[in-house]
Amino acid sequence: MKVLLLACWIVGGLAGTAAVANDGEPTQASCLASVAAARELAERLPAGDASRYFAERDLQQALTEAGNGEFDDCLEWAEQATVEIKEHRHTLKPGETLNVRPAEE
Amino acid sequence: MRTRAKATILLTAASASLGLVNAASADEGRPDRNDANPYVAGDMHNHNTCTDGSVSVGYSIDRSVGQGAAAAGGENFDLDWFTLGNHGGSGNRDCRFSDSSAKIPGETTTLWATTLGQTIDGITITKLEGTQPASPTNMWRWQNIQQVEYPILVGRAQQYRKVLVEGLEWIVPGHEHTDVAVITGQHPQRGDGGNADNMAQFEFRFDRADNDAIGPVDANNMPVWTGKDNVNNSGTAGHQKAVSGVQWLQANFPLQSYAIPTHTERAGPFNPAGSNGYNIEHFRDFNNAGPTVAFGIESPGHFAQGSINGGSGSYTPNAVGGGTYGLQGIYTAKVGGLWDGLLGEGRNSFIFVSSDWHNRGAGGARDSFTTSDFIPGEYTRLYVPGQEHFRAQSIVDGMRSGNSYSVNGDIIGPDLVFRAKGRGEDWKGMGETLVVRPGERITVQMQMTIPARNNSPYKFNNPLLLQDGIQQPLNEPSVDHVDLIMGQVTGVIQPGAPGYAVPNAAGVAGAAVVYNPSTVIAQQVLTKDMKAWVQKDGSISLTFQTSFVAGKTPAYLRARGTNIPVATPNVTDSAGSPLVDKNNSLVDCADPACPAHLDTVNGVKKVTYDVLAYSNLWFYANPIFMRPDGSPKLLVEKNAELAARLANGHDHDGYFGWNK
Repeated sequence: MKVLLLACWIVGGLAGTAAVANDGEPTQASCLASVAAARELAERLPAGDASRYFAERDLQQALTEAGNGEFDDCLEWAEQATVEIKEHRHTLKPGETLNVRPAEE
Repeated sequence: MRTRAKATILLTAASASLGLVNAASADEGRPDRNDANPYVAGDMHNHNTCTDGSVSVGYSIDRSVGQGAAAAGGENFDLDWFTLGNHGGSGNRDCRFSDSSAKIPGETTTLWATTLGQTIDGITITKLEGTQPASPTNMWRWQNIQQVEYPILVGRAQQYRKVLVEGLEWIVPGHEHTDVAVITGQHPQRGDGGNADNMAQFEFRFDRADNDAIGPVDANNMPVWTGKDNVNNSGTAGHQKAVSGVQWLQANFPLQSYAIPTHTERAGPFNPAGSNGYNIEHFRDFNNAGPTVAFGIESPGHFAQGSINGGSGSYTPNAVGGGTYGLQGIYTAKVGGLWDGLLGEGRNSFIFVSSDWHNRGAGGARDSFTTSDFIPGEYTRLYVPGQEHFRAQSIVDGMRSGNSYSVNGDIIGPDLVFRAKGRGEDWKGMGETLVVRPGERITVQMQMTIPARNNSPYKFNNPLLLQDGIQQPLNEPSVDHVDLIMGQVTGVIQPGAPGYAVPNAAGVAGAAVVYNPSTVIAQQVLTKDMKAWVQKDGSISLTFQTSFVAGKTPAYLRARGTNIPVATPNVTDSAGSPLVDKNNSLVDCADPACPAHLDTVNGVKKVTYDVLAYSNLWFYANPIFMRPDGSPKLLVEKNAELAARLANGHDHDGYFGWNK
């Protein structure tokens, strides 16, 4: 299984950047903090670990949501990544691979 | 082990109804088909890199309406019509490109900040318009709709000669989301292509994620769309702004727009101090404000997200109902639930389905498996009536009429007949009202075709059905039974009257709320008791006819069908209603062909993700209303008459379509 290396492109939501906005809504800062925390957990797993791969896909989507200013969705995806790692929901049997087609094919 | 019966015995279960009492009788002959009204399949809620999707606008359309194999790999899904239904707000990615995560050859994540001034796919974006912070990176969706999505859509409409519409997933003030389209001005088939300015204006004015204060400007640099409320975006005040948005649609585009709340249970109950879900009073408010534009509910989408923790439909345990039920939200899945509450008023409230396509989770866009969403047309199909000059107006008219049905996993095809008649020969179909005399016998017919194959990449036997001893490959859909669900219509509840607002609850507690206690499964018709024909292509045509005796009160009759037998462990209850789908993941996927991406518990694969979705199949047909002769017209009739009056003499914009 190939490990996905996340593209760390800049997120640029138009909403405020304080940790918590005045109305209590999630912000870019809280989103990015959650993503960073989940990534740190993921990187403790071996590079080829299936749950690490799933978590990194979730974090990719978290950053996508942040790029659109959808910080509540960002937090949900970061939380999903965290749960994936903590529960280690995906294991591959010897010789088993995810049927993911690389971009270069 | 037994295999699925394909019996040819016709008949009906006999049971009592409420407004319509008694039952009985069957007809051995195959009823005349109503072939004048075939249906066409589409999708109205999906995403691309303009917001939070994974693929470009063009790629999304190509996979949804193209035929055969996609150029870069994967299958196309040949929808007849397609509405782009992206979020409001803003986006930082140039959606002429797919995201790197989609793993499409040559496609990498590209930001607007890096492509300004370049002409790409014939489109040149020179600046990011509207209110911009110090370091602008995002494009407001109103600009995107006008200058990016719509021009791409025009090109694809002419390429595929299919009906494509620029729509929106409205991020609703005070709530979560609602599908909206304003088709006025959109003429992708014509030489000039028309425009999506009206769609863009709605997004600018009413989307709570769009807090741009400027919008497009005229030659004197003055805002074109003035008077925007940029303050009241949450809670009760937000809801009032949302109602204003529906009123704006009704006032300006009463026959050329719709507003259909989507995944309505996901964000929990309505929060008067935030932006969460919808209670029944909010659907009522919308329908009151927009009787010809706010006429329904859309089911969740995100159908492949079901894990061992739940999550199908992207519903967390905090959603109303605590998850999905047979891949529906509890509002529509529950007999006597919120939808039945609206139907019990005689409202024109219909249900719809779409993919909510964003990405394939662990898979790339070309992969056969998904742990998140299906591509439009791959799993969900919303059927509306076809016609010779099918056009955007046909989609809106079909949805508004209620003559539509929702299908998951191709459990049935495009030729559903669901109709009723009294003593005469005047059949009434979905969305219509049958007027009968008390005591009169009402004949109900249903015909449908089960396709030989669906788009499942899996050929192993359905693990949920194996619990019942049934061997049925996942890529060969089947129908176990059809439920005919009936409820009484007791009249419209006025705003502020008792029962107009109903307390709601997050989680499984929300599943206990009963909105129409008169609703029952009036008859459950087993497939083995229907008449069946195996067609040359391997598909199976089914038909049954049954009857009821009309009572003294108005009623409605809706239908749903499934491949899951009554009382299947972890899937359906003793009445045949779906359990919360998280239970499906208690079932092992033990076949050697079960894919590697499934969740595991102690190393054992569980029924999750796309395997769950293809194992647990349902279709939903919209209701037929019935009332005693001489009784007052139902609201559904009045609103249909309002639409007819509005249409009388109306110059239907968007008339031009492709000949079928």
